[in-house]
Amino acid sequence: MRSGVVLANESIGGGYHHMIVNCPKIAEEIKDGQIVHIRVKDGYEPLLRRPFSVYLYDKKAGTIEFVYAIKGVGTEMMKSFKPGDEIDLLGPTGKSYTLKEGAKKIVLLGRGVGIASIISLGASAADKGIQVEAILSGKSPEKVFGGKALQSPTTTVNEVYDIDGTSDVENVMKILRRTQEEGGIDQIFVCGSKRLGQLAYDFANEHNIEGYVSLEERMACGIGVCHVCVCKTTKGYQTVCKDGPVFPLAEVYG
Amino acid sequence: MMERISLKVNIGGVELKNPVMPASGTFGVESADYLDCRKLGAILPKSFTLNPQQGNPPPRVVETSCGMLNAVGIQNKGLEYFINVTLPFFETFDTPVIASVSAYSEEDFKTIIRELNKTKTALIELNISCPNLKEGGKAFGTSAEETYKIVKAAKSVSEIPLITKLSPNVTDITEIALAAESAGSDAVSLINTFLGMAIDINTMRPKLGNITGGLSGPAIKPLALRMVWQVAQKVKIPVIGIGGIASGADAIEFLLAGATAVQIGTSSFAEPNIMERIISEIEDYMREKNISDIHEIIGGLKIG
Ligand SMILES: Cc1cc2nc3c(=O)[nH]c(=O)nc-3n(C[C@H](O)[C@H](O)[C@H](O)COP(=O)(O)OP(=O)(O)OC[C@H]3O[C@@H](n4cnc5c(N)ncnc54)[C@H](O)[C@@H]3O)c2cc1C
Ligand SMILES: Cc1cc2nc3c(=O)[nH]c(=O)nc-3n(C[C@H](O)[C@H](O)[C@H](O)COP(=O)(O)O)c2cc1C
Ligand code: FES
Repeated sequence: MRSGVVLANESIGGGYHHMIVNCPKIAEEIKDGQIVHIRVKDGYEPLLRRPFSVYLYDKKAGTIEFVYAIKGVGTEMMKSFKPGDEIDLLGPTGKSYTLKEGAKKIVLLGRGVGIASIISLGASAADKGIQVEAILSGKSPEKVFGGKALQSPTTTVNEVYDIDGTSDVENVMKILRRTQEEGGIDQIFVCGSKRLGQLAYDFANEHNIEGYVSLEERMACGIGVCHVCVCKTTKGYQTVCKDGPVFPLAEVYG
Repeated sequence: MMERISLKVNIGGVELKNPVMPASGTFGVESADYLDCRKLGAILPKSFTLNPQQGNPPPRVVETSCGMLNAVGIQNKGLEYFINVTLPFFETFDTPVIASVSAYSEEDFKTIIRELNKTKTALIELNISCPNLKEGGKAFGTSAEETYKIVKAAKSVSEIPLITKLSPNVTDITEIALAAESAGSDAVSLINTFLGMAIDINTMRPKLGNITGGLSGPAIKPLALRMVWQVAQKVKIPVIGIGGIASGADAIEFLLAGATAVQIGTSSFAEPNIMERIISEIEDYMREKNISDIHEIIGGLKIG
C-alpha cells in the first residue's frame, strides 16, 4: 500500500471527475493500462477497494491521474476528496499494454469511462513518434474526454457519439478501414465496450493485426489471490486484476 | 521491565510463533509482496482439489454491508501444482505451511493426503465446508455423520496433524465439532462462510453467477464469535477462530472465547498487510495488561 496526496479533484462534466494524486512510488512503477486500487475510506463501509485505470502519469513530477465516473457509494465518497487529503492506494497491479517493437501506427478505441485506460498509452506512443489514431466514443460530447491529453503532431483524435450516430459500428469501421488504407495499423487497443471489442477483434482478425482489450470485473483483493475477478477467456477463467486487465483480443473474443 | 512476551501456541503438536494466520482463499504467493510471511503464525494458501478446477461463472463477488458474498467455487490448479509450486515457494519463509484440502469423496481426500505425507506440509486443513461447490454444497461438513466418516478416513492415512474446517450453515455446530474430534481431528477451525444471496432489482436477476455465495467479513463476526465460544466449551482439541476479524481487538475477542489461534480472511483484501498489524496490536494489548503469555488470554472469558 502506498499513500498518495490529492493535488486536484474536480468535475469535468458528463458525470466524470478528474483527480490528480502525488504518489512518486506508483508514478515510478506504473505502466500504460495498469490499475490502482483506491481505499475510499477506512473502516468497513465500503469494505473493498475500488479499481481504477491510471489515466495519465508524470514520472518526473511523481503524479498519477484518474478520471472516474460517479457510480455508487465509493465514487460518491471520492468526489469529496480535497487537495491535501492523504489517500490509501494499492498498486499498480496487472498487465500493461505493450507497444510492439518497431510499431509505426496504432489505433486506440475507447468508450465512456473506459477511455481512461488508453490515454496514457496514446501519450507514450506519441512520445515515441508512433502515429496514433484514437477513436473516442460516448453517448454525447460530455461523455468523451482525453482528446486534449492526446494532442500531438502524430495523433488524430476522432470523437464519435451516439446522439448523432457517429458511434455506429459502420462509422467506426469506416474510420478503421481508412486508417488501415493510409498505411498499415500495427496494433489496436480497446477498452470500455464489448461491442467495440468485438468490432476491433473482427477487424484485427481480418487484417492480421495484433490487438488488446482491457476488461473490467468486480474485484476484492486486487492482487490475484482471491479469484473473484475472473473473465472467461480461451485459456479458461483468468483474473482481471493480475492476468489482465489487458488481454489479447483473441483470448477474449476468439 | 516486563519479561519477553510469548505469543506461541501449539496446534496438533506444531508450534506457531503467534496465533495469527490467513484464512484459506484470501492469501496466495502474491500476498508475499505485501507482507512479511516470516511474521505469521502459519501460512495457509487457497484450498486445492485433486485435479485443477475452473470454479463458478462470474460475477463471483458482491459487496454487502460490512461484508461480501463470494462464489468462487475453489478455482485452483490442483494438487500437483500445490506440491510443485505453491509449497516450495512458501517453505522458504521458516513458517509452518498449512495445506487446505478440498475434495468430492473420501477417496480423493485420501489420495491427496497420501501425497502430502511425502512433503513438509506442517498441518492439513480439511475444507469440508465450502458452500460454493455444487456437490460440496451438500458439504460433508453439514452432517455430523458425514464429518465423522470423512475425518476418520483422512486420519487413517494422514501422517500430518489435521484441522477440520467447519461450516456455520448447520443447526448445531458443536455436534459437528464433536464428530470431528471423536474421528481424530487434531483441531477444528471455524467458521467458513455463511450461505447467502443478493438480487439486482433492475435486472431481477441474482447478483452472483452461482446464484448463492458465501458471506464473509466484519458482518459475520458476532455469529462466528458465538460459534467459536460454543465449540470451545465442548471440545478438548484446539479451536481456530475465523470470521470478520479486522483488528487485534477482534482477534483477542476470539482468543478470550476460547480460540487458540485465529485466521484472517476478507480484511486482508482492503489491507493486505493487516495480519502484521493484528499481531502487533495483540502484543500491545498484552503489554498493556501485563500479560506475558498468550495462554492467559485463551479461553479467558469471564462470565458472572
Ligand atoms: C480494471 C478496471 C479499471 C477501471 N477503471 C476505471 C476508471 O478508470 N474510471 C472509472 O470511473 N471506473 C473504472 N472502473 C470501474 C470502477 O471500479 C467502478 O465504477 C467503481 O468501483 C464503482 O464503485 P462505487 O462504490 O461507486 O459503485 P458501487 O456502489 O460499488 O456500484 C455502483 C454500480 O456500479 C456497478 N459497478 C461497480 N463496479 C463495477 C465494475 N468494476 N464493473 C462494472 N460495473 C461496476 C455496480 O454493479 C453498481 O450497479 C474500473 C474497473 C476495473 C475493474
Ligand atoms: C474470496 C474467498 C474465497 C474463499 N475460499 C476459501 C477456500 O478456498 N477454502 C476455504 O476453506 N475457505 C475459503 N474461504 C472462507 C474463508 O477462509 C473464511 O473462512 C471466511 O471468509 C470467514 O472469514 P473472514 O470473515 O475473515 O473472511 C473463502 C473466503 C473468501 C472471501
Ligand atoms: S480481485 Fe482478487 S484475484 Fe482479482
